[in-house]
Amino acid sequence: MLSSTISANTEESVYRGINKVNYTSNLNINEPSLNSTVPIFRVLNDVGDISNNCKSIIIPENNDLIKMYKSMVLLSIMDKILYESQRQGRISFYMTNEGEEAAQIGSAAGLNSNDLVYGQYREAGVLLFRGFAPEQFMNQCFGNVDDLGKGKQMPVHYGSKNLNFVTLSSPLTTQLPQAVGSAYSFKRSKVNRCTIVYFGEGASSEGDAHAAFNFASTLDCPIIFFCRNNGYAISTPANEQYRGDGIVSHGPGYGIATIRVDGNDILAVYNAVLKAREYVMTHTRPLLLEAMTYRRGHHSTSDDSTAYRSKDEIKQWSIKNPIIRFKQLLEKNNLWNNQNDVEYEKETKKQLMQSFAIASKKNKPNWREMFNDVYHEIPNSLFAACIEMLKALEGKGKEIFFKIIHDAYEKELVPKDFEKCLLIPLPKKKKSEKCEDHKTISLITHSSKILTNTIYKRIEAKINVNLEEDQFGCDVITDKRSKSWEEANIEKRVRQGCNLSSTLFNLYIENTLKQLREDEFGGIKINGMQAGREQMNSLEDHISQYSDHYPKQ
Amino acid sequence: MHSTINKYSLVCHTTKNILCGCLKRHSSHFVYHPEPISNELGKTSKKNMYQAINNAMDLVLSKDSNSVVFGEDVGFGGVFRCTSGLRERYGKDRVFNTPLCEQGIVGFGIGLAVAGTTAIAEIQFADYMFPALDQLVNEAAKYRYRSGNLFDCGKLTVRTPCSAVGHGGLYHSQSPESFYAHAPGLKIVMPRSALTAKGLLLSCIRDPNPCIFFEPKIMYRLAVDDVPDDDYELPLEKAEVLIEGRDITLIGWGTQVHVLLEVAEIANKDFGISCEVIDLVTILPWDKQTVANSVKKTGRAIVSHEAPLTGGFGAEISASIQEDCFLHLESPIRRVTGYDTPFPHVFEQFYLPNKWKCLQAIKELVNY
Repeated sequence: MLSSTISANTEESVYRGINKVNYTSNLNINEPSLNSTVPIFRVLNDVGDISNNCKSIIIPENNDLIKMYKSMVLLSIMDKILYESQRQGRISFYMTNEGEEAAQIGSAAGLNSNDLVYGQYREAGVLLFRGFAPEQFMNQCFGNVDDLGKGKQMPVHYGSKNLNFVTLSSPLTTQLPQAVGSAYSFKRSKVNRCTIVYFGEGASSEGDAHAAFNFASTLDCPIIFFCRNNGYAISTPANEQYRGDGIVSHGPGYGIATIRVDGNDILAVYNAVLKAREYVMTHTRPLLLEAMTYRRGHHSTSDDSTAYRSKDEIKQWSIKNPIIRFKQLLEKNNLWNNQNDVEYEKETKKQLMQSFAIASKKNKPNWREMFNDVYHEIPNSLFAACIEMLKALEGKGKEIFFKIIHDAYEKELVPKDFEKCLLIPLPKKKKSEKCEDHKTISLITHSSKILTNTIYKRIEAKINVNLEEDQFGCDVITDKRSKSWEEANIEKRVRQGCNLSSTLFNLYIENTLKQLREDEFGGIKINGMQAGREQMNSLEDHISQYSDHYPKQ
Repeated sequence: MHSTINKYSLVCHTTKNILCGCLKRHSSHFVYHPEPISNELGKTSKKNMYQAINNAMDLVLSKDSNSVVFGEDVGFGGVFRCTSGLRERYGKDRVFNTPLCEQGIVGFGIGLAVAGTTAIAEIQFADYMFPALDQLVNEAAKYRYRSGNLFDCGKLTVRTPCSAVGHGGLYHSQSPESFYAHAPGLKIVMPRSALTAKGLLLSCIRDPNPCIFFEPKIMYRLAVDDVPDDDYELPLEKAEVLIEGRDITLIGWGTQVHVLLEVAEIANKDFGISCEVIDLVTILPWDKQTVANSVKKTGRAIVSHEAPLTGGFGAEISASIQEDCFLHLESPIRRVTGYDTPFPHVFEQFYLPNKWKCLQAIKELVNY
């Protein structure tokens, strides 16, 4: 048997793949050390006391502490309202942030406001803390006319350019390599910005996570990878997602610095992110931060988590509610009390319900929005598609239109849209510059064109049977039955392009002709000659010339 | 730029003589038709396609200080030499290698573009771009739409070599343009020559939409044009009628344009059939109007591409032609394409839609 000796000599590497060489004669299998785990940094214990061992931590100013607390409460109330509204069928989908309020608000507080945030989908608190108003969240959930995303995405896919929060997408982990790219851009332009990208422990299994860690490390990008390890990816528990020591253990493999933090301790998260930010900016290196927390709510409104976890488990984590933990600290420092809580909750609920009511009543964006923003400019093919869609409205469109007309009839109110017109100034002479040198035609809107056309179709049959034969130039008249038409009152001139213009004219002139016919000695004087009804040519243009001479007027 | 068949036939013979020696190894299935020499865009110099592409990136890097070029092996000049000399000129923070990871390259590029950097990504082979399909289809294509125009990645251009090269086999020969053509929001462009490669790449880089720029790799060295030295852009979404004709319209893009140009010459010379040849140039969004106008005139159409038949972009064009030109058609629309097999190595010459297959189709349609 050969004796083995251990060489402890470490030398410069001849291999491209490693930095140092350390040969050994021992054939060892390098077992992962499953028993040792990276410790979790925390500031507050479960009852909200700051640990005595915590050194050089930063406690925010009182006002900031209260702002952080209020944000957590606001987030949880907003969650309840929107969750319930989904249950009532008022919005299509929702995802709560329950249990992860501290991880979200604490990290948001530790960043600079111009640091770019890439989220997964459970980071509403970050956006809220940055100043996204509750009604903006609700506008998005309703996809109404004021939704910044213009109604394109499912609820909770928020985004805000002003608040440096990149609009979310549903595919998991795609945001990670993108965040690395943005960080590289900031590094090059030396703008003192970093990016932070949020993701879950489930998302860490995607290939994009590997890509992102590796790119960030090899390309020296100032980025904070913020993993919310909340125990579940929908129903899959974390221990079926990986076998290593959580997500933080990925760091060393990529040569990335790491921090593991108690995600339910807002002060720990805040301090960890402050420190992480300082690290990534001064070293121009990435940092992987793992916040240990628990998703107390269901994955989404499409999920019932009691199907895969016990109520006891959830209850156990309710005791570790990060909001209560933080509140205890504030109470002990006389910054907050139960009375404040009751009042703040009441006021917040009231305001949120108002915002909700307003957002729910807002219109949806214009349907044409569907074709916008596919490209920077609308391509020809989409113009064509737009026209095709209008044509195909036949069935549904008819129903909607019927309702509009019916309402207008019942309420005796024509919708405002219909009253609009387009005034086109026509110059009376060349180079007309002044207002009075123009005459105008007023073009009818498309909606009123549809309305007038509809009215025309409805009265067409009746008019035709009531017109005398001599209006042959205007329409086909065969049947002469009861003459029930009263004088048509035209209060205003019709507009250019109105489908009713010729019909209204026919009605008006028919009445005139009718009186002529009944008046034995009547007629029109043309050039001093009496023109009887026999000589009448009822073509519109001729009648309009004659009408000035109508003797009775 | 192109109007007569004569220009092409003249240059084509000389090129054939010059190139036939070096083409033997690849036994190329087409004859390169150089772009007609023109001084319209200023002084020109002889460049092959990789040099023209290199030149385009050089111009962008020199003019736009917030632009970067990256991808696998890009630093030393790229496996096809498209980025050679750029790192030396612009520094390794602007022209750099990335880890070997396509989804990372495209995702990283999107993020650069979102933050305002002009991102020119190289995917070493189009055959290897599929790991990035998610980033391209779900992310790049939808960025503007899903954010209501708050964010976009229009400053991203992904360059990638594609198509047959004579010996590439399954995984160095594919023409996967139609996969990406199903993702509204992307612009997909394929040049046919050195001259168009430079102008179109510059357009793609500066276009405010994410673009995939497919470079037919067989032309990197083979396609030599008198390429204008200046900065110029060629229009995207615009097909180009290269030869006007009366009897039949031939539509292709990339390398296949040269097959069709030769086919048009033979059809004219040997059979007196007048072919109109269209280079589609942009696959998405494509120029329906130019194609429809042509087919309404000729009454017949052949679409030809290297990619497999089923679900190829030829299917889209054929369907569109029959919708727009039904009463003008004298014969069915024909697709002459690669077969519904993987791209085979030693059978490449049988697989490709070469001039004889196209010619046969023309004869059948004209006598239909």
